[in-house]
Amino acid sequence: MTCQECSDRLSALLDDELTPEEIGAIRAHLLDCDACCRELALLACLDAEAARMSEPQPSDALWEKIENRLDEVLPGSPETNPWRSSPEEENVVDFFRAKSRLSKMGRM
Amino acid sequence: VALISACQRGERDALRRLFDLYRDRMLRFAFRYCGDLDDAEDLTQEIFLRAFERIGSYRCESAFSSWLYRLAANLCLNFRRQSRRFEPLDAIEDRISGASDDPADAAISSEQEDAMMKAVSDLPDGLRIAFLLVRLEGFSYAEAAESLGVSPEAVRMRMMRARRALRVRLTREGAMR
Repeated sequence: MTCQECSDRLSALLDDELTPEEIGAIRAHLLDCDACCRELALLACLDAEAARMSEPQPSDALWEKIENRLDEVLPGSPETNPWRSSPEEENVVDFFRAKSRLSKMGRM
Repeated sequence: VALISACQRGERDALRRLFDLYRDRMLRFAFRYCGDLDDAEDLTQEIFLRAFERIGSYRCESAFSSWLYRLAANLCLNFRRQSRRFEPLDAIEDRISGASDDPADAAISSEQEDAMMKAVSDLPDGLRIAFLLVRLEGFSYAEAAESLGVSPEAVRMRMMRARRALRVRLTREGAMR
């Protein structure tokens, strides 16, 4: 294995994405190559630094912000359901329902 | 599966449970992508709203997390294109948690973390998202490939190039010990 071939595989080695045969070949090369050993150490150090990046803390209001906009995206909400009545249409329906009830009461 | 089905029926309790399940992972992914907590919260909000809007199209043929990360990755890319305002990491210094008791150690640690965040944030989009998924979210190449809609070989190449770019930059800046 050449240094270039080894270098091209070090990243996958750190990600545990190599076959046992590939790992064996890299190990054999590293035993004789200080430059590739240094390269591997640097990449491992890089991974360790990346893993130390801080965890963000979500604000308490995050769900509330989402919940306030759920009607915009959920199926069946006024914004996404073309068959659903508009508020004006609902008022007309309510008017005729009330009128029907009154006329029934009048017949009693 | 039951939770996803309930979400597909639009049950709000289920949506809340799904949010609780993935909130930290999505926020972390967005934060490490854009480097600003306010932007990351906006992005997380959009990720969940888009997920809830489209969850009816999820067919359980792939892992739900892969589906969600794919959606998140696309939104991050769009966010990057749309937003020229975010200056990565300006607001990070106040938000670093877990500082050492020794102020000198804390300063060094903070500088290294800032340098790493800036370097990650400056990676080209494709390399950055691959790096975040594999190195920080623990995805295999195959899982990352599924989320990104590319081949595992492409993920392998992106990881190699991302690591090389980070190593060159951080070594030059003296941020790697």
